[in-house]
Amino acid sequence: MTNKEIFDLVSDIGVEMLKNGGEIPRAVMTMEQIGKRYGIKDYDVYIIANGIFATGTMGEESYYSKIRNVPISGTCLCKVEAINDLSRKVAEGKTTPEEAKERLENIKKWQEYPPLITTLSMGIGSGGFCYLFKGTLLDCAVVVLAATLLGFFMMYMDKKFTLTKIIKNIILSMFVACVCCIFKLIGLGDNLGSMVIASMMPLVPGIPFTNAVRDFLHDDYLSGVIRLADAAIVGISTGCGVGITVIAFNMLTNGGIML
Amino acid sequence: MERLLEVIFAFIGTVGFGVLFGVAKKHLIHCGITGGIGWFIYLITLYFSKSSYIATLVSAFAITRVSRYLSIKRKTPATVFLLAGIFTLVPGAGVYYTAYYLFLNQTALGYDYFMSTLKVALAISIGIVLGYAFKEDAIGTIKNKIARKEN
Repeated sequence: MTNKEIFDLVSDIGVEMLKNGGEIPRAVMTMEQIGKRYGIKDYDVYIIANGIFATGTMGEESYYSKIRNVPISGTCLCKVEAINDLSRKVAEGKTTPEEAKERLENIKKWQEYPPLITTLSMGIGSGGFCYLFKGTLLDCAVVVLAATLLGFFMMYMDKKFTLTKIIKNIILSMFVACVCCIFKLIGLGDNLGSMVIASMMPLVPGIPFTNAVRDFLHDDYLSGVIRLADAAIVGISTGCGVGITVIAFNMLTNGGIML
Repeated sequence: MERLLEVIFAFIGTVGFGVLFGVAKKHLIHCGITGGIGWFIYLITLYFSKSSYIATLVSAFAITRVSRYLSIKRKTPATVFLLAGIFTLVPGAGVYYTAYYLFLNQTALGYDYFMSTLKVALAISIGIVLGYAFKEDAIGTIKNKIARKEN
């Protein structure tokens, strides 16, 4: 492999780590370790929540730099684990760049669970949380159904349309609130409030919000602000979606629905 | 009895969202156990301290310790267990309620939810930082020191 390809490979590994939910210090450490092993000198890596900047020298006086944009997206922890393994193997000197590249391609394509299982587990997980939100067992069963429907609707939307984050979240939360209200109106479920919030669990930005505060505590203010803004946008759009639905249902049923 | 059921449901919820986060199959049960332990400690601390923020902090600390222990045992990054484990504590509902009440023009309620969301997130973060602050073998080192003094 040429020097440039090696440099790009190390950046790719960092991108994959950051995209799938690896912490920023871990991504920095991974890139620096691999870069050191593959002969990148004066390697400087600067990572924020949605971007990677790296410069270094390789061979005789040739400088390289790479800027990558990494949009904030879903978490896939098995990939973080796989890349961590890869970086450890490289650091031990057991893996050549060619092998590392091949393994990275495999990791990119890897899917731990088929979509159907993910959707069903979304339902089951939300059902479990319904009980923690003081719902009854009947509520839990309804939430399992509602959140599974949400999962299928999510898959359908991803296939059919390309929407911005805000619109997508508003539509999804409107859908899930509608489903819960309809179940409540036909007599299934006792506590509408806990039903709605539990089936919203896959949408609400709890982990991003906590990660933002964690970034602030680690003196990484820029990443903190980026993640906070992301969490705020998602939170506001879900809140709006449910609000619209509740107002609409109240109009239709003359105040029959109260959260 | 009801509390025990809550712990079991926390286990189920954590496993469900572990799948959503793409946790490898072999770690799923351990993620669930981490979540269950977290909720158990949350309930106990809540019972004694009557403050959900303190309960959250203690529980986040415990979850961090458990996930670090598991990460060494199972040779995998601690994030795998940590992210899935704190899902029971994380203030996702708070963010949503803030926006919801602001949207419905109930500003005072929205503000209350905003403050409590911020406090919970801070409590979790501080708990995690504290959990990482101690060296993994801290207890082992103390034991060694005592043993050395005795000799």
